[in-house]
Amino acid sequence: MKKRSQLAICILVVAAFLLGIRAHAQSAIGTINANFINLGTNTIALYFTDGSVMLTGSGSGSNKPTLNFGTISRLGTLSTGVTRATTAGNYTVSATVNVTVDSTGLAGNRVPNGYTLSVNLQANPANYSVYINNVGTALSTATTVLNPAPQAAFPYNTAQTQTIKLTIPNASTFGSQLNTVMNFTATAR
Amino acid sequence: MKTKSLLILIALVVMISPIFATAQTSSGTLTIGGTVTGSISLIFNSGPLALTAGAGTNTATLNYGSISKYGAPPANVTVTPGVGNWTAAADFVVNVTAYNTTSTTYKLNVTGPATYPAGITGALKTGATTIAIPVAAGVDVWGGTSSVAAKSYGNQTVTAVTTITDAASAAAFNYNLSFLATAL
Repeated sequence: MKKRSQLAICILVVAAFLLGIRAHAQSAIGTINANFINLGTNTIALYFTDGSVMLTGSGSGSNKPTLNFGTISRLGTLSTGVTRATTAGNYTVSATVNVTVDSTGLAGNRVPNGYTLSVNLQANPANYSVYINNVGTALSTATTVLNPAPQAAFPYNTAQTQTIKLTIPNASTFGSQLNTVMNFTATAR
Repeated sequence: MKTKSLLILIALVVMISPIFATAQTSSGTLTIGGTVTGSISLIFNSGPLALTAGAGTNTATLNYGSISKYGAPPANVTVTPGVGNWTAAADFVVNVTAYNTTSTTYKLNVTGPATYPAGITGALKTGATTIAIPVAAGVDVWGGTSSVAAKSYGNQTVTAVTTITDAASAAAFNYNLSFLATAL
């Protein structure tokens, strides 16, 4: 009977924690509550700042800005901060953006481990290709890890310059404004 | 006592495990925008008579060499004597290429120099049609107001025809023609 009671108590305690009912914790569990508090603030924050082109939309310092290349053509004048390279069948326009991951909210001594950064496209563009950081393969909806080498990590709180490159075939025609959404994800190591 | 410790241990594991099970991530979206506009390029390429400078660029020189009304013309230059004047003619290639446009044809407008050298006038011949190039004014060589239909993009052979009066000085001459291609 005693064992059954203890088992019941055990289940209740576990269930209470699973449900997040911390207010009813006993003194022995009060110490454990501190871990919950830490967990709640154990976060990192990714944001973009201006690179070669001033970010628009929600702007520099936010996590949802717009990088506008302005008017793009093979031969015409480009916006400040946008560069172009031409080959026989296509041309590229490039601009840079800075990505920073803030470690202020990261619990534990994990800051030295850095973070990994991955990116993918919300949708595949039909008539041009998107590259980042001179990665050889055009980005797609599949996730691409941007870290410079396997097992390497980016350091926190330091702006990492990423080059966004668009490759536009000469024969492509555009009936509307070019628009691509890139999803960035930083993961603490 | 053992059971109490076990209880605390279980609770501890339950509490701490999410810290390790959940990776700390943060995400952002970067919207890439821009407006792609069409563009066209114009360059000159050599015909049978090699351009003496600027082949493959938009600033080239076509040099007939030494020409006279009745002497043997240089290779790939045609001299045709006339009454009171004569002409020298040589072919060259105009290449207009289009990028990111649905346009399939273009017009070519050519403007003559502010003044031609004394006794010299210029014209361009395309197919069977010869079009005089006026001084300091543009004329549509093909497309637009020309009797010659607009051309497709790519290479077009054009003949540079220079008319020289019998009274013109025996001296070197040169004049500039300015070409302007416009997508249609």
